Amino acid sequence: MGTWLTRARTASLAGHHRFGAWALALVAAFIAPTELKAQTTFSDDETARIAALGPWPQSVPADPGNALSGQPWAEALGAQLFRDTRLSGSGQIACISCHSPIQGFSEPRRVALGAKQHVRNTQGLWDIGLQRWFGWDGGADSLWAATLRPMLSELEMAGSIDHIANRFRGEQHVIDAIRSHGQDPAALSDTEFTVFLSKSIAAYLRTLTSPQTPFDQFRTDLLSGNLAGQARYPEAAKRGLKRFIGEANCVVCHVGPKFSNGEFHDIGRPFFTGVGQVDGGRYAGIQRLRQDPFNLLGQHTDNPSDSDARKTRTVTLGQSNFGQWRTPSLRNLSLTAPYMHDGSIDTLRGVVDHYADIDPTRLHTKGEAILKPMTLSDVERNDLVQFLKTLSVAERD
Amino acid sequence: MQRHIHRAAGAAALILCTLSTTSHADTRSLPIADAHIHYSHDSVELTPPERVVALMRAANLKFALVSSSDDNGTQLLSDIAPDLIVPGLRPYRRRGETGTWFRDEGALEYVETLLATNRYATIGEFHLFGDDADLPIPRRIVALAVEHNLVLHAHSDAEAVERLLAQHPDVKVLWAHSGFDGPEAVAAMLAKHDRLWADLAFRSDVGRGGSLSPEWIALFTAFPDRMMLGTDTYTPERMYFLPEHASNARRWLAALPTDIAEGVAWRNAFDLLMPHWQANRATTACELSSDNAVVLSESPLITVTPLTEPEVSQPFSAMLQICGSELHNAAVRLDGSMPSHGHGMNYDPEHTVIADGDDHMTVQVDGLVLHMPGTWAWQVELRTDAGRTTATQAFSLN
Repeated sequence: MGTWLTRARTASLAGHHRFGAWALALVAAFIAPTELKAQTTFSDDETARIAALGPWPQSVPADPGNALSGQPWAEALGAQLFRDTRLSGSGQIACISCHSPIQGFSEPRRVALGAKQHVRNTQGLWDIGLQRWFGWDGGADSLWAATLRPMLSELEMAGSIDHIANRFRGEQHVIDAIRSHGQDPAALSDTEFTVFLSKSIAAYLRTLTSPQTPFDQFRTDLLSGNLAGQARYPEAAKRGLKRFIGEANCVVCHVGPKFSNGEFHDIGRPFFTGVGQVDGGRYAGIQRLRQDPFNLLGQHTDNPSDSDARKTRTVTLGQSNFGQWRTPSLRNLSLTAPYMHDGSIDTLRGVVDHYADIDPTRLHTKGEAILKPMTLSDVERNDLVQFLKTLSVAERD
Repeated sequence: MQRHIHRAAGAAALILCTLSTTSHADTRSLPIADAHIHYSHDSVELTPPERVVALMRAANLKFALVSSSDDNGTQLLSDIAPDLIVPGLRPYRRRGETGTWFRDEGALEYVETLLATNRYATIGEFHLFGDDADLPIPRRIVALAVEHNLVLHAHSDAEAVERLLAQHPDVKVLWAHSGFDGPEAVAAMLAKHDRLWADLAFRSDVGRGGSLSPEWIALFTAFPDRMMLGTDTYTPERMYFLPEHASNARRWLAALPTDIAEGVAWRNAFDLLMPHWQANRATTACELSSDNAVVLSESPLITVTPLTEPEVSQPFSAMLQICGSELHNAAVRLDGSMPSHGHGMNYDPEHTVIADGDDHMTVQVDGLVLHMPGTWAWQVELRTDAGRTTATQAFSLN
């Protein structure tokens, strides 16, 4: 499994059209024997749980504290800036350099390589506007702050506020955009100018809503009683879905239409980043959030709302946050391998194996009590993989 | 905005700048209580209640005093946003009864019928001038206000306000638009009557151009706990002005010291209206009529009532109510945990005491996030002069 999935990903780099057809053929070959077995059915309770995983797409709320959010001109400007290498210190790295659209806006590296070597996996950007916190550690409380951070991070784009502002102050399309927003570009400080650029990019990122998937179609068919439609959903995926919402307890954290509760958990992955070096995860993220001058409590927030900023005021910092990571969405998972905060698992099968064979001694006795080893056969593990794959669009135009 | 102030060259602006960086309020994220909103029949037809609530939240309103012609609009909003709406009872069945209601027995019957059905914090906003305030129907309205623990919200001249106040020693008046009087005249009225408060709805002369005149600053300084804000959504279109009204108020509130700015922005309205509103709505809470109340303890009676249906990982608010004895000086905290998971919430929710009496306490708790489905437990810790009490009750979240 691991081998062919890795090869499939490599193939997708060359041409994702070909990948889709090839992967489907492989899936069909794999599940064909089991199709002959008894049909999987869902109880009323299970149907209700499946219903709660949709509908899709969801409406995306405005980016908190970002007056440009939802403005078409800002989205267009942001789409250009997303591809602009001049945002980086070297002038050679753009957002898109790591967030590649054909890979779900992520990349196949285990950990990112920007201006320097990073210690975390590049996260996909589809549906990012639905998140409450941003980044593996949730160190940003808005999409625009999360956009600004990599621009200024010495590991990532290694830009600086004054360099970025100076490079774009002469750009007519940026000047026009600022003026159309009712501001005088010359009156903006370098910081305000750069924040404006990050808010424009965030406005673009908010528009990245992923399309419907085979799972969404199955959910619709199940709820509407369309038996012919239900029959088109692979039997192995149905079995995997049943386990996902049932005994495997996946849905406890990967909940709702975006398959994420938006919060942070320790699932027993190591978080050493080198000899004597540890990535503190959510603990470091909350510390970073509180010190961030660009958080929702800071002066760069537009129209600050009491309820938007409440999460930032009230989030608690505790012992258990050390080594927690944000629950990622599972949509478009097939596009974003490798997996986990450090890209340490190459395949979906590897992810399933991690949970099934989880080492309870890695978890604190006061830790997440739903994480327990499961005795799952090879077929049962692959059922879960087949289900997870239906959360991605296998083929696109 | 501050940027422009700092770059302005005028001497006055420089003084403002200096003050704003020393003792004056950073009002950018200041919540606002809007004490003058109407959602009348024509507005209901054009803007659904969900949109109205979204506009209120976009304006970062802490709460809104809403009165409508007819009352239906107020009830529609209360149903979907009970954490946000403080209902007022307007004696108008339709718009356009402002000049006739005080001689109209039908208007009085309408008020009496609604008082028997619903719960309110105020009667008003009504229009009443001069000696009309002593006509039989306004006198009956004052009596009803005292009987039902309601504040009068009067769009009146100073004479009518004084006549209303004279009718009963307990009646309180919220003076709509501050009577459109100047700050000196308003100050004189506030000095004369300690049962009088005043809203600033539709007062373009307050904070004109983003700054406050010395006369208004003097009024707010002399009466820091008596003035409050209001938009006055007298036409359907004006509902869409709510966010801009709040933003504009934040701009001129920045000229005031933090304490006074917060008072005008929301605390004065809160301190006037919430005790009335909570006392009036709480008569049911202690009787446990709410279907979704979770009972943590019978004696003292401790209940937690979510204001909206809790959903996994969605922030929501709840009312925490305690009915017992010797609750004066009590401190209380609500928390949630998943006992079988070994963890609780990832947030420390914000508690606001809404009513604080010897035998009853109501606290609004905001920012509750239950981030996983399963069995949760509410936990309440109550500290009183008598000691510390804890209570817990499990509930299921799907």
